[in-house]
Amino acid sequence: MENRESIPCVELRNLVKRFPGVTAVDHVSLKVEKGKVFSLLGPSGCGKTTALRIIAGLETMDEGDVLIDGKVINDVPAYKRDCSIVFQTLALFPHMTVEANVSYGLEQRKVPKDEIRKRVGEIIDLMGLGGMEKRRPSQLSGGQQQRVALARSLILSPKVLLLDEPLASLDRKLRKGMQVELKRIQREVGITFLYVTHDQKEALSLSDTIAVMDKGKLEQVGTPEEIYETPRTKRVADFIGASNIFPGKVIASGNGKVQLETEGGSRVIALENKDIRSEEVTGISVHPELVEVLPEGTGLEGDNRFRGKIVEMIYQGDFIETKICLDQTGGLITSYLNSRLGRETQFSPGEEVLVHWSPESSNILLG
Amino acid sequence: MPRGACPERHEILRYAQNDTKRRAGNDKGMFFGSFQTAFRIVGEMPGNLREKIRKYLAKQAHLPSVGPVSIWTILFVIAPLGFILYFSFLTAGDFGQILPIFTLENYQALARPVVAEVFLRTLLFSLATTMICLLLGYPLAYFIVMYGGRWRIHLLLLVILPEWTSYLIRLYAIRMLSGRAGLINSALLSLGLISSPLGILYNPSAVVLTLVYGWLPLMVLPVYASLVGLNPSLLEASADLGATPFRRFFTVTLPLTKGGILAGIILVFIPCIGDWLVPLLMGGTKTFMAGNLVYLHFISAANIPAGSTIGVALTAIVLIIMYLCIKAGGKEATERII
Repeated sequence: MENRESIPCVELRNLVKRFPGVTAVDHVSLKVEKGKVFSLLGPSGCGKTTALRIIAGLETMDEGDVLIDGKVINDVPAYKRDCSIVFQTLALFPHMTVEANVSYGLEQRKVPKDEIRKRVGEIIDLMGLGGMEKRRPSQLSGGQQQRVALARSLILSPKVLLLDEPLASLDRKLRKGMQVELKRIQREVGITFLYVTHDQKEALSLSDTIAVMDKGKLEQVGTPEEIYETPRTKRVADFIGASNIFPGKVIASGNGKVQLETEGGSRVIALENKDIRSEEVTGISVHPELVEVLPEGTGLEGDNRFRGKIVEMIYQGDFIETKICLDQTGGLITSYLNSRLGRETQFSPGEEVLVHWSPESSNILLG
Repeated sequence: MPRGACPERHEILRYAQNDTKRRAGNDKGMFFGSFQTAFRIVGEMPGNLREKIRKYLAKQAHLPSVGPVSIWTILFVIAPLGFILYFSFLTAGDFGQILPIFTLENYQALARPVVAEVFLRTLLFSLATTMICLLLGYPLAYFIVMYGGRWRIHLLLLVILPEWTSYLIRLYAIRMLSGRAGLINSALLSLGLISSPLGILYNPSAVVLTLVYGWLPLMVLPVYASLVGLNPSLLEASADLGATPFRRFFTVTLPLTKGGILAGIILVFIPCIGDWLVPLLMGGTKTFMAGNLVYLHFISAANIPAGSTIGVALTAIVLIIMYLCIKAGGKEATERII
């Protein structure tokens, strides 16, 4: 017998959805652990929303199975599924008050009136919507509408709450606040969140697990740290913001290090990873904040040191995005220089410099 | 009230002047600049000032605004209705002339059983027609919107198409189809399904069904528009929250298309209640409607005051129905009619 605790809250098995001319979801299999925040991250059009809508029952799949709590629910209609979706457009009922919107789901389930009143009161308190009960959605601010949409779904205590870019319509500052709020609510109610977003920062700060999707395929699943620090494919590395990607092959290994030759002909060093076979390696990536820029006079001895010339410096507030053209290959490398700490060693565009990163910072790519 | 007596006005002007001074340097271009300034002034105003503007404008509302709309309304709505109202209190002479003798006789005549019966029948026929139009038109519009896909517009066109033919010609066509010697009866007779022609025409149901045929598109159009405007994710949200398709229709689709329904009701009811051609061509003496009475008074009896009185009564009924519908449907119903 399988232990009940180990049954995933949501499981997708080889899910396939084809639209005319495009495979929106291409053999996706994943497991969402109970009580956790699981994010589907990917660029727009990667199929993440389609996958979510299939789980909600709003879209049919062509192949595969959807399981909630270990039960296959492929043929269960949307209104009988034990999950609830928060739409990107929120889809609040404009003709109902906040109260009526929130109690809608319970009324459909024929919950006794007294209990509905009690639970609506509780959830309105939890969401900080007190005093808004009699208002229409159009009389609320964006953040308040957001809370109503969440309350409307959460009140049903679904096995899983599906969130389809719920914060996309909010401005940056409000979005930050709502992220914190979402985290708090999730901790308090303990419901599994399946969160769809194209905002990597949002995914990194909210999730327990992130699954990166691209072109309908699942690229990598892991914790935020794993996804950010060790992206396994070029697409993940690119999407998550490690813009320095060097395709190449392993030419030597030993002493716990591997040496790669990039397509441009440079030698780069990375730490050896016992789980990875050298033939599978397709290159490395380095996060820009791990790339050091040193004055020209510094010696060239040691790993991963290259001469280059600064071609562009873009001020970003907390850092300066610096692009350096490498002498040896002509390729560009990006480094994020701390804009305040680096004051005494000011660089300027056109200057000859030395770039360096440690072997630990090289992340090995497999695809 | 003297102009200076409005304290809000001063404050608004002062604010606008200060604002313009502040901004004077950095406006780009005359045209867009002035627009931007206007928007900015309103947008950045403190809330209490905005409230004051609102009050100020409300105080000016007593001034009649004379524009094309007012002229049009006075010329083509108020004036004719005024004449009819005026005539309805006058007396008809022996030769059809209108005598300027005030009387309430015409209104008292409305209470006569014969006339009251015609009015009741008119109301009943019109309500029946409107209800049947709703029961047929709503599902039709629903079907076109939900399942029409890329053929939606073509299907809608098919609904409207008959409207482009003259009403009279269509009525005669129906008579030819369903008369005693019409196409339907002769086909059924020759098939041996009936032994004597069916009396399809010249009864109340013939009148009501012909009215339904004539005015159905006016129900379909506003309902169609309101269904098209329905946000599909609201239906998905409803299903997601556990509503069965049946409950979903009654809790989301129907309430959100109420405006279209009420607009359709007004649009169908108005031509029905004034119709006289359909009862004349499709009905017998027992299907007389109020419109026929007007016709009789004006043309046959040459009693314009009496006919005007019936017109006033019909207008009153229409206004009451419109008021009720608009009150029930709010702004949306009014917008859908237009």
